[in-house]
Amino acid sequence: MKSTISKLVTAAMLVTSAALMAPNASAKDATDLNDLEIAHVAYTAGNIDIRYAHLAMAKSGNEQVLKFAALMLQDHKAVNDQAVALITKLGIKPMDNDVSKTLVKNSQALIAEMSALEGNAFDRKYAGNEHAYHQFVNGALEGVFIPNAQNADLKSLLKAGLQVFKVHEGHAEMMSKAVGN
Amino acid sequence: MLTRRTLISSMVLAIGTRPSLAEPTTHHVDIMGFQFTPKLLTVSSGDRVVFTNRDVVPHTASAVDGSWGSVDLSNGAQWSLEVVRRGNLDYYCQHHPVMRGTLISS
Repeated sequence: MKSTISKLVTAAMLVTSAALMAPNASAKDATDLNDLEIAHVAYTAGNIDIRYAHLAMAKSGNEQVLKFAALMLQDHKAVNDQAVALITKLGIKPMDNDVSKTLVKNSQALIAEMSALEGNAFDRKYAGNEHAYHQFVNGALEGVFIPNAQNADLKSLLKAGLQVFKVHEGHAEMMSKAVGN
Repeated sequence: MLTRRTLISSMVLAIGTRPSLAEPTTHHVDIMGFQFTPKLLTVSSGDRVVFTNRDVVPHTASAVDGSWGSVDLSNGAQWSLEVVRRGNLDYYCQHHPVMRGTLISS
């Protein structure tokens, strides 16, 4: 059992490091981030999903996709509002970093790609990405950011976020299958 | 001195109360970790159930049959329901339909 969990955590860390690593070889990867950088990545990841949701609201005609996108707008805003409240309470300023920059860069490319799609092709791409994105974010939270966060309040908020995003992941998986992936 | 209107109101209230002599009870359901806790709650008609959202995202407590429901409850918000029906009152969160609970009303 222990070795299975250990393998899962290791796998999540490998996936996270590989996926989040900046193209610059000297850049820090996800496992090296401090609390201020972790907070920035978490907030950025939430904002990216909000941007995907806005795109889906504008482009999709599928009721299930629209409902999911509305849920993403609501839930990610709520989590990010909590993050802002925590940042204000602690009097800190999250630090931009290469991982956040890479996430933004990748999301911009994906938004451009999805913007060119129509109808079911868009729905399939959006739904498939939501499933994969939440899997990826949850792996990063569980395997890297939550264990590495030092501040108890930040760790607690990341755990609360993970709980939310796991529900989203399950929901996204069902949506993805429903649109034909 | 009681006015005619007050008397009528009192009569209406008296007729509207449940036959049991027991005082209505206030119960609490916490919404936490995407679950209603307790998931099953035994209540009596006339009791009050207070739902408190302790999650970071908004939830609702909404009857599956659509007969009652809360507004969106943000983190820390509460909403109370006065139980007026008997039977199994199934409810869920409109935003996260996997979240389900039941009030067993006698």
